[in-house]
Amino acid sequence: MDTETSATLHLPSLEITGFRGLDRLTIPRLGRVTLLAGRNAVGKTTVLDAVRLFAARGLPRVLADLLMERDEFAACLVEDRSPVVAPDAAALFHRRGEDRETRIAIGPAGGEGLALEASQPDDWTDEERKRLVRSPLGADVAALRIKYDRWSEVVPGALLKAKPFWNYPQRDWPPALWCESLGPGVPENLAHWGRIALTDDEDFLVQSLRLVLDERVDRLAVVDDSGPRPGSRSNRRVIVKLSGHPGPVPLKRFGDGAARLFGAALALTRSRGGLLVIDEAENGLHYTVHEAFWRLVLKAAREGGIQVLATTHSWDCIVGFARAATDCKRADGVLVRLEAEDPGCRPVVYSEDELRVAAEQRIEVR
Amino acid sequence: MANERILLVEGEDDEHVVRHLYRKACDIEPNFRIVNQRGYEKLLEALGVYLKKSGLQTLGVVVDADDREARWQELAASAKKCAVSLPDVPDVVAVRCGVARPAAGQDDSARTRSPRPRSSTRDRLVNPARLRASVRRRRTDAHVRASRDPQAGLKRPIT
Repeated sequence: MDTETSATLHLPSLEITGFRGLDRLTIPRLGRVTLLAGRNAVGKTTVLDAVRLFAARGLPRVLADLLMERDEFAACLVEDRSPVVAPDAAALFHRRGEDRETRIAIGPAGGEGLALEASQPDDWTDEERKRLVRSPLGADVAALRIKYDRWSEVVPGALLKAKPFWNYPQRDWPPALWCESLGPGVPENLAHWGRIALTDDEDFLVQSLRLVLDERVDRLAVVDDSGPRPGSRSNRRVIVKLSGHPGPVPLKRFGDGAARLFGAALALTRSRGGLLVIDEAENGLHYTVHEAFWRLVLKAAREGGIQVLATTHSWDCIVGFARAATDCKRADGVLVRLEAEDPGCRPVVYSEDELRVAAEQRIEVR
Repeated sequence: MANERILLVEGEDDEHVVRHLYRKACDIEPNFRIVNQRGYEKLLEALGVYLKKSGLQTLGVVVDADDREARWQELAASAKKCAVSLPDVPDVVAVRCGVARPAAGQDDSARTRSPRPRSSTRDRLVNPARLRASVRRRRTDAHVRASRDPQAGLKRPIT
């Protein structure tokens, strides 16, 4: 990795301690685009979650999202003693924080990082005590102290996304890094479209769709329906104009591959200067498309100053990544395989050159 | 694959030599995977990638030792990038598959009929009539075995 690239990455390396299934993991080198491989349940998605949490500086809203995405809830009682199910901060800790000294730390190796600790009342300031006295009861971790550099705050261990618990005081912390998380399917959040329509970014999205729909794609647009549709939280949908076709066609009609490309391209336009995490990057893509997909990601990441971390189980995805990274000058692609060890897991880092050799000689790296 | 044993060889000839030697010596098929790297350069650049392989138990390498010292240094440098240390001097444990060379004026057919010189125990395990074509132009001089098992060390001879 050249020095310039290393200096501009939010996370040139990554150290995670005590977070979910990861007791301790140090990845000595991340690239502009890092592909994570490894067996099921080794901790790939946990690494992506850790990156999201680090980027958000531990924002309670993101903490709650991470917990809800994994169905990690605890039964609690609120002030009037009525039962409620709340996102359970204890689930963030390695072995659910059985050891009370457990601490979560996430950040670049040797750099400024995020820390989360189980917090006891004698640790609270008067102002924090006043706020936390109305916290839900019954969570394994009564309260959570979040620290970043010299900043610190305490939030309830039951991270209810409802008032009054959700009205945490305005932070005077360093701004969070934008971190887009890309899952399967067409993204629900299309509010960003207003800043894309009729710009070069719209062309970028059209180009990305052409990887699977060829030159038939003329244009695309996001349209508002009159109200929310059944089964969807959003009333927006993506439509595509194909050459020779009289009317618009819903993007979802073209399947997961088109959705993945649209989602990735949209996320890249939103993530400039920030981070993008993609779980199971190969989703929906035919093996012939992987190389072009990674060219698109590597180029946009380089030009937009985006750091991308993605997971995969697919050999075709790795080969496409290796070829694209080799061809894209100064793109800085890295593959990291997480390997289970007793205890914990260790990273095995492959440089672009090693990936090229692995792809050419079909040497297994997953 | 867990506990995988891999032997990297430079070319097809080496692959056949190793396979036949193993069959003759052990009377079974090799219990390791032999990978023909199609040339020393490709073998050298792949060495580090193989050393990082998941589930690798043992990696062996067979190379021509035309310039033994230089090649050893190249292999050692490649292994070092993966935190695998080779000794300064190769631990040579198996040397030379000898074959009778035709005397001046003697053609190949004459040579096959002539008694085979018996230069070593290892040579007696090899049928020169089957191996002649493979080993005529090359001699396999060093088998180097590097293990990633820290308990095993790096100096166990290959069999």
